[in-house]
Amino acid sequence: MACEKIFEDLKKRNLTKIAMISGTDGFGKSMRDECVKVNARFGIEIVAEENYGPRDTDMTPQLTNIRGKNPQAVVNPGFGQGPAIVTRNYRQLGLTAPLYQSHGVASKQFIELAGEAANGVRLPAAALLVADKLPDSDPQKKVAADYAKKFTDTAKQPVSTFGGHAYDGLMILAGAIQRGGADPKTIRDEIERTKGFVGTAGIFNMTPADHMGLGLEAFKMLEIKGGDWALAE
Amino acid sequence: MSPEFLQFLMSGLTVGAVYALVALGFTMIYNASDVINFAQGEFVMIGGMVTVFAAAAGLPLPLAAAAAITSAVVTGLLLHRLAIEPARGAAPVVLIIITIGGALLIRGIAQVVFDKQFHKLPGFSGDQPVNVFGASVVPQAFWVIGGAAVIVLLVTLFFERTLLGRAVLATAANRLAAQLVGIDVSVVMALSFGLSAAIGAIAGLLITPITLTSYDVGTMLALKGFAAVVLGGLGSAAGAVAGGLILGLCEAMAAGYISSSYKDAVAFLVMIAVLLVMPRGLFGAAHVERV
Repeated sequence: MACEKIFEDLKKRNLTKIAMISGTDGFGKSMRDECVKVNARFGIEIVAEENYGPRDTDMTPQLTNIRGKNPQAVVNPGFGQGPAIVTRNYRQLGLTAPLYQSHGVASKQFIELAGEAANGVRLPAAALLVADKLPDSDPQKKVAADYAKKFTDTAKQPVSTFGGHAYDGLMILAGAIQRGGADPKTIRDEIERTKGFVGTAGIFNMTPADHMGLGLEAFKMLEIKGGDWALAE
Repeated sequence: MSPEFLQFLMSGLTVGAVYALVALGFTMIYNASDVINFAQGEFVMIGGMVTVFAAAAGLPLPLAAAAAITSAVVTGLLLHRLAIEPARGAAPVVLIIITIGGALLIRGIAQVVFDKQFHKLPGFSGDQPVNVFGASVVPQAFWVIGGAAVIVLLVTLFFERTLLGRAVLATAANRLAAQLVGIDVSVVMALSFGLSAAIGAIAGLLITPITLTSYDVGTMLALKGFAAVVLGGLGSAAGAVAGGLILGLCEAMAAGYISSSYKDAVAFLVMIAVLLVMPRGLFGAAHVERV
């Protein structure tokens, strides 16, 4: 889904030749596989593909090869500190094509680690990161802003979407128990019946077949500007 | 030389210099005690983490670096005094397992004292890349390569020109004979732990601006450093340095020219190939067999 969101944005910007540099950890690998499945549907061609190990400390050789292929944009499916090093190496090598990260780096720590290099990076992420910048008409505004306030007051650190996901999950579970009681079977059925639940990650509509309950619109395309998240659209 | 080749070369040399320093730390302790100290990577971690936190607390960089080296040396001495020394009669294998325990303990303490996040340090001479014949290199890479060269030089001088250094070499060659000529073997061992902790810490604080650091960076570095030691020949300082550089260069060249998916595999294949032909590693033949 993250890939589709990125490809949608690429298509809007008329960028069709991309390179991918993926982490070989579970997150990077599975997102890479998802991207390779859907790129043709968006008319996007992958002209170069590179990998790095989750604990690698230098990705300049891979990025040098990518630079040689002249892609119009680069996508980095990855998680943890790898994408921060990719971003730093990317600027070091003077690559100027737009760089897309994933929701795997949706925490302030990524910006802190990548420093200056993070500016201009785009990534799909939950609305929570830009809670205070959402228009008042946005149905998620209140939930996201309340969570962000509570979290920063208690934990004394900036919100990340990861904590938001746990919060959404707990609230969905609590809702299901309130409606149907604590019997395991009814809890499951009630969770699957959750409709229109407004969480930090989006508006959930569960079905027995769809246990994620989010549509593509749940992801916002963000761009890092001046060391902070901003809505790209 | 194409700019791509130079880019791969610089990447390989920088990463290789770090492996070389870790390998050198392994070698020093091995020479003095027959122990392969698997807490070597933890010294690197302490070097990076203490510098980051001391700098964040407002210390100027040189002082933060000094604090980091001191912390690592103290940790190294404590590891020797509290874990290795009490078990000094035990077989090397037992001592090696003790160092693994020590590594886990140090990592655990670091998790509590610091945190589990990744941290960065600004480059000592800024983060603006410089152009070297078409390759784009961060200034910190020169700090790493230069720092490693200076340390290797100092260590060589120490072993060849000072009485203390020769005492370490004598202990390495024959512990009993060294004791008979009046060398305090226990002091020599403590010294080698302290020194290799200092080398590890310097490596850690030099690379942090490039690689970032966290409480658990030591594991991977110890593994790669150990591979470098085996490749270069256990017990040889020159071998440790050569092994580290070769390993780093293999990784970078493989990622650049073959495939980034197989870069670790290529590095380890080279290692296996070398060991098949030279089972004692590149510089291992000169090492005296102890019975």
